[in-house]
Amino acid sequence: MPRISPSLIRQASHIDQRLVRLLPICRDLPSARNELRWLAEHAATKPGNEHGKRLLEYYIRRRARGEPLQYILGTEYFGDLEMKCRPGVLIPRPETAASVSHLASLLLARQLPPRLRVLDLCTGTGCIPLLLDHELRKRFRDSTTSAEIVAVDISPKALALAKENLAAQPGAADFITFHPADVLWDSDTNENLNEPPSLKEALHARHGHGPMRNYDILISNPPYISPKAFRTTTARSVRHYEPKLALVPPDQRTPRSYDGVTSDEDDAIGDLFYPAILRHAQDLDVKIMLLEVGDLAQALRVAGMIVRQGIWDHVEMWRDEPGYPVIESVLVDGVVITVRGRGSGRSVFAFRGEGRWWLDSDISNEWASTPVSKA
Amino acid sequence: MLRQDLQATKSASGAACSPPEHLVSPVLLSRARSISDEHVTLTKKLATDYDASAAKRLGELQSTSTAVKEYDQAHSALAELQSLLQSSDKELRELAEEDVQHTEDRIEQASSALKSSLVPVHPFAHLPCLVEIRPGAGGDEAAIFAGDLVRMYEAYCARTGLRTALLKYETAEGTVSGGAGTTHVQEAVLEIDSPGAYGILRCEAGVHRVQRVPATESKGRTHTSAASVLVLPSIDAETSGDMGENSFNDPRSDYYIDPKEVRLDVMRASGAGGQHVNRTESAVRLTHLPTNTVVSMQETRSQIQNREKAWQLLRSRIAQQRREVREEELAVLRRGAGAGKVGRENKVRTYNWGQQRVSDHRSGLDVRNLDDVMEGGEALERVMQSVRAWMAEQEVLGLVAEEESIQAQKK
Repeated sequence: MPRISPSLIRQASHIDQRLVRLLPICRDLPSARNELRWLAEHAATKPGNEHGKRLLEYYIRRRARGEPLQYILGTEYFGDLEMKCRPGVLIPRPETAASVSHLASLLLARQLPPRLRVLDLCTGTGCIPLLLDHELRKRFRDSTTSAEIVAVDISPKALALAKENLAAQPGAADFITFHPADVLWDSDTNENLNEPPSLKEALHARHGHGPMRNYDILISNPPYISPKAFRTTTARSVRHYEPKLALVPPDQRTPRSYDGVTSDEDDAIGDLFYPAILRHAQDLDVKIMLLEVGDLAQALRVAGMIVRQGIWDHVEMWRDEPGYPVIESVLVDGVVITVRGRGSGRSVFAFRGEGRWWLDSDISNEWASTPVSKA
Repeated sequence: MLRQDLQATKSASGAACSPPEHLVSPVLLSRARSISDEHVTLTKKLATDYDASAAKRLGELQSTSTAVKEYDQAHSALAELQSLLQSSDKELRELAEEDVQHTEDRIEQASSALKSSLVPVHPFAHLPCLVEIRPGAGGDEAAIFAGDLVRMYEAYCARTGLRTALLKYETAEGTVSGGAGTTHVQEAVLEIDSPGAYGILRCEAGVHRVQRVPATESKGRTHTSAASVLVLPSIDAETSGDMGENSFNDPRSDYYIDPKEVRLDVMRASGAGGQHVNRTESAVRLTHLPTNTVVSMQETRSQIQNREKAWQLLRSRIAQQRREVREEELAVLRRGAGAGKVGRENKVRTYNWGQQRVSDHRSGLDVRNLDDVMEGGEALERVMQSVRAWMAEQEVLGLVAEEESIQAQKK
């Protein structure tokens, strides 16, 4: 990371010495000013205002050391909602909110099944189901459609926090449930009672045994950072303070070679969750799928997996702001794929079968002209 | 002062009548009569078929129509008395003489009622408003004074029961808790969301000048600095629906902005996003492309809230620009009558610490209780009332000039 320029430090020290301490983590003066103001406002809301100054001092010290602002303040905004945050659970990112809101804006209330079934894998704070539920209830206000959302995570800390966030949103508990599940472990039965159950076992527990119930929409923001990217391009604050469990997939190579990993192997570890999620999507007869990815290169790899799975009618890649009216296309495995919006590559979107009729015609018309199939 | 001006106008228009029965200038009277005629026509029309907009218009005309009736009745009473004064019957003459003074008072009251009924209520007087305060010439001292003004208006609103919220508060320290009244304000936007706030505060628009020894001055010299105050009527998404033609969804409204003409930028450092980084920037910038008006907002951590606040501010600024263009056209008509424009460029008030005095340059009112003004107390209310009265007088002068130019064109 480049050094902060001495002139910027001088400028900051002229205004307020506290800004100088926040500069290394905030990187620029306007951000440092905002964060100082938010920290001061937060300190002022705490009871016992006579300690306000010392409390603020404590917050600044933590922030200057690199602790994420959201862990200090205890919340982060996600679309219209404010989610509780705690160490041990990934902080929701604004790009995720943009993708989820965009998906909600594409769904046509009149065309959807009356009780839409949604599955969210690796839910963390529960931000995705909560925002999707919030957006859909706004959209479905004048219709009888409702969405039932099942969300899972492997981490007990995440599930506890997700349940707190659920309790904080009026009415959401009627539509959303959270369950422990290991997305990577593919088994029908839970052999080891100390481990979280497999996804299938968790869903059986939710719905009772018998034939597996299907899901209409699958969303996931799984861990997607490769071990190398974690060491090099991941911000220090993220690396040191956010849970690695939520960021980097486990290294499952056998035997592991400790004398270095090739670039392809590194990518494969970063991509580890996607093949598992695609298998779940097929088993659960999912019609619409939205998966977050780290960048455009990973988006291309995941889009390739989806094309090769051979069951999807249409695949797209979305950037950070998918609603921004710019459309490009790229060739993936001989198939032309639409790339929407501006910013970094952020998610991969696919649908099939009747999923086509649930979506705004903008997308389904394009589908008519660019079928996803290998000639 | 008003009466002198009106008499000057009257003699200029060549009407040679004896006072006091013509306190109202002939042009104003003719405007009042045409309004009264419209009132009669509308009343007849509404008797046969109801029409909501005609009923609304009727309500607006009501006070002028009533005032004209009272004015005419008072005049015919006086004419009757004067014919009695010519009477040969002494007793009758004495009775008439007793009544003359009373009737003249009645005429005077009717005249002022007539004039105030003609002053149009500002079309946005019923709206909430935004008060934008920025330091002008004078460096640090101007920024400190801008902070003083923010606190003055906050205190005034708190005292008078108006709801306020700081929409934007940019200080040089980057912190809200500036301590003992020495916050360097770069830009502050105070939202006053009570209905009618624009009508109450629009008299505050303009350049406010301060003369004092600044806290930053070591040699004890008095400095002159200034801060500008902009008052914008404001409508938000919830109230917009009830505002009729002020609704921002109505393309005829000043507040209407075609979303296609606005570029939204989420200000965020470029590079990787997602799980790799954890950013706290939530700033939003809106650019209205046709006028190149830019609004940026990073007051809260919520990008959605910043976007809503930025839209609110952008709408108010664009509406203000559009209204200023229209008012400029009217001002050309009115300039002959010496009516000043209440714009942002004019120095409107001086706060002098040395003499503990506040002088408003429009109404000419001096108050000595500077501290009470700065605390948003009764003294500030007195100054504001004097300005509102001055603005009403300016409106009457403007009406006279407008009516005269219309009649000149007819000839």
